[in-house]
Amino acid sequence: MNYPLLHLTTGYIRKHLLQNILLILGIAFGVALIVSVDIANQSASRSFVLSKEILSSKSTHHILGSYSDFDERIYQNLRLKFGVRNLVPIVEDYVNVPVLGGRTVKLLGTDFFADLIFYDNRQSPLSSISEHALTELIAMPGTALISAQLAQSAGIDAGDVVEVNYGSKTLNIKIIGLLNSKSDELSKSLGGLILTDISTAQELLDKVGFLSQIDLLIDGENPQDIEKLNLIRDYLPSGVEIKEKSLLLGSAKSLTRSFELNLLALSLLALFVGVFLIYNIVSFSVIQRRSIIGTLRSIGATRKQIFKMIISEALAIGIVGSLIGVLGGVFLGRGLVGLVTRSINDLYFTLTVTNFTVSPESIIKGFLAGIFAVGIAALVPAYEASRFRPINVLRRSTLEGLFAKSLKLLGFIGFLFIALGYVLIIVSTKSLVLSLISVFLILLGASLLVPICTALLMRLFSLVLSPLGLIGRISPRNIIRSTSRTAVAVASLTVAISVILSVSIMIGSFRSTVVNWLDSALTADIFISMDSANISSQAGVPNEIIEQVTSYPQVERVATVRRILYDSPEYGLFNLVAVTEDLAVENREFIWSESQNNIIWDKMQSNSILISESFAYKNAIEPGDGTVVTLQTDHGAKDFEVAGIYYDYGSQAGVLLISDELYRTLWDDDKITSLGLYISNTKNIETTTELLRSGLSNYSNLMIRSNDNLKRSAIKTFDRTFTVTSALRLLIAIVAFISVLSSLMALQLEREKEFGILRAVGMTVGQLRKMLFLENGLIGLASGLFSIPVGLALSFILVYVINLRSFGWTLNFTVEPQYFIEAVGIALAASIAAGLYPAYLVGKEDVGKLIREE
Amino acid sequence: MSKQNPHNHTNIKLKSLCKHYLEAQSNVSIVNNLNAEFKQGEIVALIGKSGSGKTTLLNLISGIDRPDSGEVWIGETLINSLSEEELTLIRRNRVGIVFQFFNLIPTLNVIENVTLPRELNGSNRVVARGKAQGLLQRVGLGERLNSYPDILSGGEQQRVAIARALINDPDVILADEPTGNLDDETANEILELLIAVARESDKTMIIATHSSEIINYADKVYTIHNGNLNSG
Repeated sequence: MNYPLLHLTTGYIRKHLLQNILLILGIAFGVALIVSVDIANQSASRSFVLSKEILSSKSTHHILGSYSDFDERIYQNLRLKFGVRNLVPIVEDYVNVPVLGGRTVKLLGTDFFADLIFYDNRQSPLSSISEHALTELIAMPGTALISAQLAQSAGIDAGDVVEVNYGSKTLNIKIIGLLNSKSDELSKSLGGLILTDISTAQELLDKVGFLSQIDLLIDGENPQDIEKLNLIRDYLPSGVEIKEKSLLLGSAKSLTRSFELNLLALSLLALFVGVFLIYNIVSFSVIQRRSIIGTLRSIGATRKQIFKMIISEALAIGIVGSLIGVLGGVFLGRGLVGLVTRSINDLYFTLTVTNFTVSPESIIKGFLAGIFAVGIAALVPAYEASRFRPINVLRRSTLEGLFAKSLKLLGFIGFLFIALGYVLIIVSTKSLVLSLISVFLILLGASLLVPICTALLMRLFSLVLSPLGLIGRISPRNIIRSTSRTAVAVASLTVAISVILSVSIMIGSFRSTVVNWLDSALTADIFISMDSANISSQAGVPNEIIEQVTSYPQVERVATVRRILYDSPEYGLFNLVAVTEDLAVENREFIWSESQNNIIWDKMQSNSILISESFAYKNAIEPGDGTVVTLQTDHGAKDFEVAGIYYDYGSQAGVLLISDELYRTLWDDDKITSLGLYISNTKNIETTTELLRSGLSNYSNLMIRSNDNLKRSAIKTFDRTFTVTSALRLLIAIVAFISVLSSLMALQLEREKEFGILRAVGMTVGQLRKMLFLENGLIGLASGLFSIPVGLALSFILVYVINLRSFGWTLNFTVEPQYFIEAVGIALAASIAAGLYPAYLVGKEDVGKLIREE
Repeated sequence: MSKQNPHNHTNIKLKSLCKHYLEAQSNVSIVNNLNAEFKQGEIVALIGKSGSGKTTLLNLISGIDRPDSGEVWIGETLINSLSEEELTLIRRNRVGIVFQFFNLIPTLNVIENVTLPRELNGSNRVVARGKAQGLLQRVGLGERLNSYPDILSGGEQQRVAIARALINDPDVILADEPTGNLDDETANEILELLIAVARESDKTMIIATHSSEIINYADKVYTIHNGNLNSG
């Protein structure tokens, strides 16, 4: 840009500082959300890798049981019979450390000599441990190492004995050394770990004779290694598999992908609302300078120069806004990482490490998104400016006239976008990304329809408000007359409110579905499980408790539940749940079932199973007779007949429900995850719960909860999961508020002269403010009313399409009138609040100054 | 059009009026210790170069602007001691203003623009429309009641502005370059119309203008020079 144009631009920005600050704020908020969500997602991914891949960073393969630990002789045979040397045995499980505020860490036992193969000497965290301590670690039971960082946060020193909870046991572990690593990554990993010798871990975790995992280092290009890999595959018994590490990580990560994608979509929505704001302010800045631009054109500025001037100006502001947004995003990301990690811990798997990673990629992505949004939003106004004819020939009214003529065309294009969005939903049967694109298309289409709908609605308001007098009559008309400005305010507010409304409906539907489901699924009166703060713990309820609880006269009968996370090559990760009786028997709701509820349980005693909707959806299992699921049991592969597909909202990974009797015959597992107790007199649930608590007090960490209590706790977890969504929803509302504020400010600046005339001919400041309040109120009301159909359409898509495609869950669509009242209320409050400052300003200006010609 | 003898009682009185503007860090005196009296029914022309202070003086009289010192009396009311709200009411009820650039409200049609000051007073809409219709008939726009300003010619817009200035039957009409934005023929028509309606309703009218034509119509002609009024 040449100097005079640059000078004009900087002068303009200086003169309209507040307007440009709002623009910067709008961009900054949008960018901050994108950056923070990206940071949260990437940090969660990193936390996952750090939590899972703690020590064996160089390993290429893992040997794992499909669902639980496996015989340690497999390791011995691989080493001795097959001569495989690059392998490390691991025994692990999650424990809670009271001294760390109940934080979940992984207790991991390994063979230290074997483990060294995965490190060069400088990198090994064991290099910081003295030989004496290492000898003690191997020789003395109950000894462990923890990272110096973890020790510091818990106030632990070498030599201290630390209490940890595992299942119903409280373990005392002596810390004999502190681990240090020069590698930053490894230091973070060690922060979620208690490291012991393998035999210590086996004893502490009741896994003597068993291993959780074997890590291997296999060179995929070495023919000898490939041969060994094939030998291992052939050797491994049923239920034990060797898996490539990268695939394993990918399989687990895929569970959270939808969750992260939904967060990303919400952050993009904030930027989408921000685009309106940018468009509005840039477009306003062009109209405000139409006379200057006309003059510039008349004295020789080319169209290209004008175009460049406007685009450069917007981009310069965009760069400032994006930079602030990036900084804000990093700050916001810190808070969001905690929320996302907590949701992942609640919903998917245990992360022992909460990592905060700010990658250059997140920063660049957010920054470019901001610049791109500014570029797109400024394109149309810059083009319009370049088309201005020399000297000021385009009056405001002419511009409005042109806009009014294009209302129908805009509406038509909007309709086409909505139709395209609808087609995308119908056509793309499973793609989540396409569904999200269709949401954006529908929102874009709706915003293009807003101008014509605003004009029509204001005509109606004009008639309705006519009896209120002059102000009632002219306020709607003022909005119609400035549709090019007001429609942008209405559109941005409509988009934001409809997103808020649809997310509210979605969360409400989800909540009511889960509440109903809990009512039908949790029929037992009292539940006993381990007080485990993590979803991945394998610790179960001690078996002898069954006998003890059945001895209570109040207890009519006991049902047991065994829940394991099963990893199968065919169906990926899912929950295999074995029950002694169907806890939901009569209430269970089926998508499809081959027979009546009471007959199904009988069939499940022989060879039938039930699968949850998400399991069916994930594995594309169609309802119908003869559907078979094949699983590797401890006694070989087994085909199970699917007797029904039922609604379940307990696990996104999906559930395969099997009768306990059948399970125990096929899998050599005698553990119990939880118990459901049926009480003879349901009036005495709370007193019986208390009795059981005191009777079973010798078992530490046992969680005994009444039906109501468990449901409340489940709902609390549910609500916690949606904290992230609610936080993002609020931030979208803030961007929308700034957008409306900027629109109203711009409009007020543009109408200064009109206000001056009104005051000159006798309108008092009070009357003027009343008129502005009414106009702002009408803008809010229109946005609120438009957001109802748009929000409803979006919520249909969220509930019936996005949710199904993200989590494999069909929700009951639940709408409550309060959602609509809230939507209209928020829209009204936002527009009226945004109009407060412009209304205040309107009385401050000098009438003479206002009516002076440009 | 014949000149009419003004009544004797004073309608507007300006006493030791001063107004300065700050320009490039120095005070520029626009109105400097100005004293004048304008009687009811009197038609006064203010002529002077661009920037001589004609608009400033009209703005001081209408209460759009406030003097740095001195007094502005409209009838028995000293307006420079009034609040902003009271000044607005003075403008609404006792002063009719006609601007150079018409200053109609684009969102209102012709009749609504005219009834605006009356309706702001809370007057009955039907009564206001009746009066506005009469005035618009008088200024020759009886057929254009529902047209919007942006489709009217400059002359037509100024006629609407004149009707608007008269709707509340003010004591004073202030016209700031009312023909400055019109061609000669239309300018003459508007000038004649203004004079006629002022005479018919016995209003005090002060017209600020460049036009020498006004000398033929005005009762008094003042030149504004160095912030003061010189007769003739």
